[in-house]
Amino acid sequence: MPRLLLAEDDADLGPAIRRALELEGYVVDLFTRGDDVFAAARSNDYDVILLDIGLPHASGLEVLRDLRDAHDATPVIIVTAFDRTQQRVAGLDAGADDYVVKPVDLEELAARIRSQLRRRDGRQNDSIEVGRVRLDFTGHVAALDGQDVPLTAKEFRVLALLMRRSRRFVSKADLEAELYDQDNWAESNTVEVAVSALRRKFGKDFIRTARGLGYMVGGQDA
Amino acid sequence: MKRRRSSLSMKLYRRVLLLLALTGLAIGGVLYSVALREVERASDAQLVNASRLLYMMMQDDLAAGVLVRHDRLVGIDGDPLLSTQETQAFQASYDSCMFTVFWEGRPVAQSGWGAPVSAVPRRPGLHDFQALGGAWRSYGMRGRDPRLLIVVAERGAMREFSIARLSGELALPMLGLLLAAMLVLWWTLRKSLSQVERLASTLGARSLSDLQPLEPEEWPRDVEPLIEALNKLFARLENAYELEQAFTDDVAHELRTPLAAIRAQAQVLRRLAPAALGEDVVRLLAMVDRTNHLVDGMLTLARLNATSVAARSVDVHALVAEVVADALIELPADAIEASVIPDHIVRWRCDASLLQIALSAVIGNALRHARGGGHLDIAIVRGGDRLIVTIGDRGPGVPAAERERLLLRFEHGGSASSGSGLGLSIASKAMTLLGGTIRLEDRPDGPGLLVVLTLPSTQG
Repeated sequence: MPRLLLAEDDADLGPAIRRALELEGYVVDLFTRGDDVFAAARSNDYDVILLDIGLPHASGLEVLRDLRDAHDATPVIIVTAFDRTQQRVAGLDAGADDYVVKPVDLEELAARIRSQLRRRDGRQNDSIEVGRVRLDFTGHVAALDGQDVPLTAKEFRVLALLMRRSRRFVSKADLEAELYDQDNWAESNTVEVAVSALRRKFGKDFIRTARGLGYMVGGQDA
Repeated sequence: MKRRRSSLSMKLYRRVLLLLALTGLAIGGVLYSVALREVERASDAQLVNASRLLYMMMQDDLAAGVLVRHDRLVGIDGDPLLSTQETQAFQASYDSCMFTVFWEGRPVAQSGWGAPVSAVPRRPGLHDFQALGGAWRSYGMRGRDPRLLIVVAERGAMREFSIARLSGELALPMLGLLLAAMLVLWWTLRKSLSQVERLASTLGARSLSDLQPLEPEEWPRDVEPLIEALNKLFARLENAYELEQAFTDDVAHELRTPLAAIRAQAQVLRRLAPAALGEDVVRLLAMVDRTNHLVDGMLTLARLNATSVAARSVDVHALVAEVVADALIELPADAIEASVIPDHIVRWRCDASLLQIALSAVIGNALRHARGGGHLDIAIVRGGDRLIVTIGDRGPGVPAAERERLLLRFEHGGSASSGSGLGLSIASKAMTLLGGTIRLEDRPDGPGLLVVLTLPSTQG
């Protein structure tokens, strides 16, 4: 059972997040002081640390730097109300693995924790997960809800590009360019054909489209 | 009555000009008096010369011996001492002079025309006298024989005429000199004061957020106090900006943390709640989200005031794509049919983050109202010196009378909406900072609202 360290000084938010994560099946230790966080992280082996920046007695960034200086590589997700770009950069520069701005959606937080756990297990580079679809690059296999779905080479390339750039529009030109260096000649409607095949296999709403922008995966129904 | 604003250069110019005029007048006065004295001296010398000439013409007869007959001085031979020819010759040489010759105090010879004999001073030397309604000047000269007195006189008017001519000749170059001095003075003043104009244009060319101090070395010493005062002001503004940023960050933190707690608790509740309560918990979550949206909007609006504007070349199409993706991702896949024209890169020089804020606000607003219509139609049009982005929806639209009001803070449209009432005012503020405009219109192709964002071109 993965064990999480949650550092949050707010008397309401800390317990609420702990409760939600416990429902997800994690063991959660909650700390409210920066110096306690550092001590606990050094003496226990946590799977992921969720770190608020505005902690008393030692700010989250200080704790993070101290941890990294002590060669502690535990994945750290910063959870904070500060949302400026410079602050994000400062957090990531200090050695954070991810950055979430309050009010964080607990389902999103859970997904990010899972992603950190997978990276920790050394599987970070060979698969992507968007919604119910999982793409495994080593086996060139796609799966919907854990069930393998057979794909052609073109469909796999289109899906891979869409999933690598999930939650953003990928233009038709970019998808065509992705297919162009295949052995097979990309015909003018190759992309449309691949997309409609993918929609048949993963559901009509899995791939969204907008005229003038292209295609996109991710989001509410994905 | 409105007082005219004083101009330093005009004031300085007027004063120096006054000084110049006074100096010119003084020099003119001195020159005039010198000229006057010279004219007097020359005229007096002429009188002396004329009397000497007369004496020379009579010298031979005088040496031979003279007698007075019928009030006329005649020579031994009985002829008058001065013949008619000699008198005429004299008048030809000194055309504005008259003379009288006295023998033992009695006038015995005179120039042809009516000389005012009775008024002529009968003394040697230079004298002024009045006769025939005018001023005269005379010179009396005694002969070797002391009974002889020759008096030559000249009308004062003749001298005045010479003086007037001389003054005329002096005045012209003086006037020319004065005009030339005025021009040189004006040019010099403008040139020195152009530093002030340079300062103004340097400051004018700065972006709103450029609060770098001015380099005192680059400016003349005279404007140093001004530069120092400006630099102090810049430092204070910079400080105020930083305080404002710190304040908005505090607000963000203080408001977001309790909201995050409420949201987290509501999500826990949603997982655990019995089915009968499910819908209420979902509604609770929506309310929390709306409050979050409001806080986000207020922070965006507050931060816009402290935003630095930095123009660079931006792919507006990519920016639109990003904003549309962010907005659609929150909605069911089939909720909105979105389209963007054109389907390729459109580059424009502007501040990317401000434009993104404006686009997010307008697109967010359109999607809230277009849910029923299900359409979002965006067009990016380059029009010479400006870029126009139109965002159209198929919602109920906005009556013309309400459009101005909608751009203000906390104004909702007529329908009950889930918006914060900040969206369009955020867009309006961001467009103002970009130097552009926002306009609400009817869609020309059917029902719905069309928002027109116009961006000016900025020099790089």
